[in-house]
Amino acid sequence: MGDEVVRRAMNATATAALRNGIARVLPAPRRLRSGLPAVALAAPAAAWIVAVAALALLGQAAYHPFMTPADLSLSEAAATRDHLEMLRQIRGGASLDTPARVRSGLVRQGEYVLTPLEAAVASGQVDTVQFLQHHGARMDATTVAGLICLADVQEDREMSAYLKGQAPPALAVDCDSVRLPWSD
Amino acid sequence: MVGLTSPRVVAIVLATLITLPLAASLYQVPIQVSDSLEPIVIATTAASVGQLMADAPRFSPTTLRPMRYVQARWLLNSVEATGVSYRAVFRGVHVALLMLLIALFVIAVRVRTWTDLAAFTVAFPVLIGIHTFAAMLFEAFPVNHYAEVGVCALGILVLAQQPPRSYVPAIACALLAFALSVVESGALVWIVVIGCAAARMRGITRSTVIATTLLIVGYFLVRHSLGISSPGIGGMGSGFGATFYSADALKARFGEHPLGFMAYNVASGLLSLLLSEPRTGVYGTAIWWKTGTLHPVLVVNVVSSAITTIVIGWYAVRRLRVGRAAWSDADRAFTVCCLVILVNASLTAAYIKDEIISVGGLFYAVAAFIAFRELLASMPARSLAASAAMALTLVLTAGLWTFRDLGVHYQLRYDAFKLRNDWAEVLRPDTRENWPRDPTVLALTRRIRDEAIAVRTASPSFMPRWGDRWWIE
Repeated sequence: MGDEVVRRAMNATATAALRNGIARVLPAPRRLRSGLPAVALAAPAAAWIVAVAALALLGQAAYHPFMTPADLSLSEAAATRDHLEMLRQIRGGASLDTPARVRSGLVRQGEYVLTPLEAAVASGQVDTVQFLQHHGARMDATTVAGLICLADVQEDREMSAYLKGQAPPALAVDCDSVRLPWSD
Repeated sequence: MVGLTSPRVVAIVLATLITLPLAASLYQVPIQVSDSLEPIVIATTAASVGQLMADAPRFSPTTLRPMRYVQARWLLNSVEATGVSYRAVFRGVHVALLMLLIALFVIAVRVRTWTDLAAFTVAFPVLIGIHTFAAMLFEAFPVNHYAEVGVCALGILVLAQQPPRSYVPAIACALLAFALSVVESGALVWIVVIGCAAARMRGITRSTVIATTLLIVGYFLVRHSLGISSPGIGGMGSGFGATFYSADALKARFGEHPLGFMAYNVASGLLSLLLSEPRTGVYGTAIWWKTGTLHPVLVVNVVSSAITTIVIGWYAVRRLRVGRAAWSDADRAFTVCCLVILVNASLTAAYIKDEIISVGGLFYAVAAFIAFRELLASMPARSLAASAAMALTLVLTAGLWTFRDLGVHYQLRYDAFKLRNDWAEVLRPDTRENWPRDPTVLALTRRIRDEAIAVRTASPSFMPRWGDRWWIE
């Protein structure tokens, strides 16, 4: 019975081939019968959108993928040139001269405890040093020598020249007697 | 009655899910010092709205933007009346404009079937991710006028899709008048009216065309009588090849023979819309050629835009070669989109900025939706292999555009940090001689600055370092 069906089908195909020409005998491409598969194939795009939206909504709720940590220290704000954040913390009573934690990767690898001025010098930002000075950071004979030595260790000539310009005229800088957060 | 699982409702939910976080990112941006503080000060010191209107022609020899200052004044008044912060009012308006743009886009594309929805999932990321849309979010003067023009232009397109109504001419004139009074690109609203009428979209009647044409003719007559000219070369900096030139450098280099540079700008403006390259007239590909450094952001932007533009071109060839009488509603809307893109590109003749071509970017996204829908609808008649290849290409394209969308969040945070830090230079304790002498202006400046200090923004130092290479050109 099955062989008979196959035989009739082959005969029908051969007859059609004779009637329509040899080109039609070639196997026809499989065709989609409705628009649904197309929609299903485009579904990953929708999934992309939902995933991104969910990520962004999470960011607004609790997990902050693109947000500054809430416990940012004044020294960290100085290291990242976040002047307005520094101003916000100064207004909130933060001390301009107190050393504080600076997370790894902000000035260099490894966590350090630095004053805001040290953090600004370590990250090579003269304008942040000036900003801190204008708001009352202590830069006198006891602090400036350490800053100059830190700038020299960093090989930051511009910073070093600026700090030397701020130092008292008679100040003799001896970097061997200054304790630096790092020496390489 | 529309069911909760209808394609239209799903499209609205998707758009809302994408837009709300974007609105939150936008709201974090403080009022900017450049471009915003000056008009706010002008608006607050003027004796009345009437005086602002009268003084508007004197603010610049090349612009006539009275509503720029008047709406700033209205917003300042609303701060006084409600007691809320300046940021809440000014950024609140910006967020409202964003919502309006999204809502009008959703209405304009008319998602009705599941195939429409599939096209929407690709076209909506195009709308948000194209660099010209981001330009509507980054800048404010103190309100983003290009976003306002975009709302007006899309509003006309939506009106044109409806049956003719008696009130349409009045609304079209109001939208055109408002758009023209905030920025010169408002003339694009008239282009949309003319395009809709030429494409025989049913909502725009002859009376609308006549009324808006009279209005724009009147506008140019007023400009002429006030002696306001168009900005020429050297008014703003712009790019050429691989280099960005300052206004003075442009004048020195092209001032004597400007036509070639203008043609370059128009062609570059069009290419920027179609391929996301160049940006502000500077070709990233030329920089790549010169330096050998290829940034991933350039690849993502150009590939996503190129695929989208190819689909748009395919649609144009397939559908528009038949006579206008045989066009469908989608064909008519598509034609208007193409016209707006072309005319918008021509507005970049003197210099290129992303903002100038931002309205064209909106219509590019509408055209992309129409083209993607046609492509999806044609898939059942294609072979399985062809359909699969197309679907994979669409998924890749949607993925790239969605990646660009995420970059808008990154850039907005970057922008917020930069703009907030700009306030460090205002009212500096060591430069008291530069502080405003007028007590009202000083109090206003101090209050806006205090708001900027109080609201924390994300520091780029705490954002993924790879973001610069993948999202910022």
